[in-house]
Amino acid sequence: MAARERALVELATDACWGLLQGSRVGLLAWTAPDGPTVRPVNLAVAGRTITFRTAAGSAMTQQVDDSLVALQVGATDGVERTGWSVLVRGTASVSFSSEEASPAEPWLRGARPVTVTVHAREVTGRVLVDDEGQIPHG
Amino acid sequence: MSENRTALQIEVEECWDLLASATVARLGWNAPDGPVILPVNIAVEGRTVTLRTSSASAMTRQVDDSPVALEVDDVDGETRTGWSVLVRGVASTTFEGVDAGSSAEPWLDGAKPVTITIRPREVTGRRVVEA
Repeated sequence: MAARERALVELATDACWGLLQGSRVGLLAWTAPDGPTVRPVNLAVAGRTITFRTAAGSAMTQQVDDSLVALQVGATDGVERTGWSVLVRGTASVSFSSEEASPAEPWLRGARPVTVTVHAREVTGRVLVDDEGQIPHG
Repeated sequence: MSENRTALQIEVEECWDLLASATVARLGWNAPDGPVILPVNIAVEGRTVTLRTSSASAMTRQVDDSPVALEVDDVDGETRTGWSVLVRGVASTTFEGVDAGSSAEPWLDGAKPVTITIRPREVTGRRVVEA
């Protein structure tokens, strides 16, 4: 494995959005009062808007509104040691309005009345390819 | 699809077993202009998580002596089940000069003389199972 050369290739913004639109799970990072934290979220990406749903009482609901966040999606292949990653950095907003409810489908049982929207300020992506140009499927 | 799954807490011991089985994680930290989260190749020895990076990386400049969050997971989009382990703690950066400070194996070629060590303050995990 170690002998195979790998290269990191930057993805164009449109390609990043294409990968985001094909992703159902992402990792949201934000700054809690006691430092950074990360949670998996079930996403919906419509056009260039990213939304997901959470519970009214969650730490996320209390902490991300009008705050800077980062959202990452990606896939890796541990055997081939290849993968891709897209990073969205921006600001989150929290809405309790049912009219603005995210179409995202949470996996968990229980009410998820809160919609979090990530307003992207910067979208970047990278793909780690091997010498045969292979990348894993998302 | 109905939302018929439930989340169970993973005990700390099992969190560490899951961490030790992972080679890829995501590291979240606070850059000057807001949070960032990037994939990293990790090594877990005992109760310490290490990774390697290049001297010029933003991570090297930004995480030393700072609070960070590291997440590993395994998620199945078909069955909508999976697990996620979160380590929150403080990172420290050492310049080893040689690639000896961490047994993590970066997938990307190129010098990675910087070892980042995460000292955990809090380790939590959740597993999503069919109810």
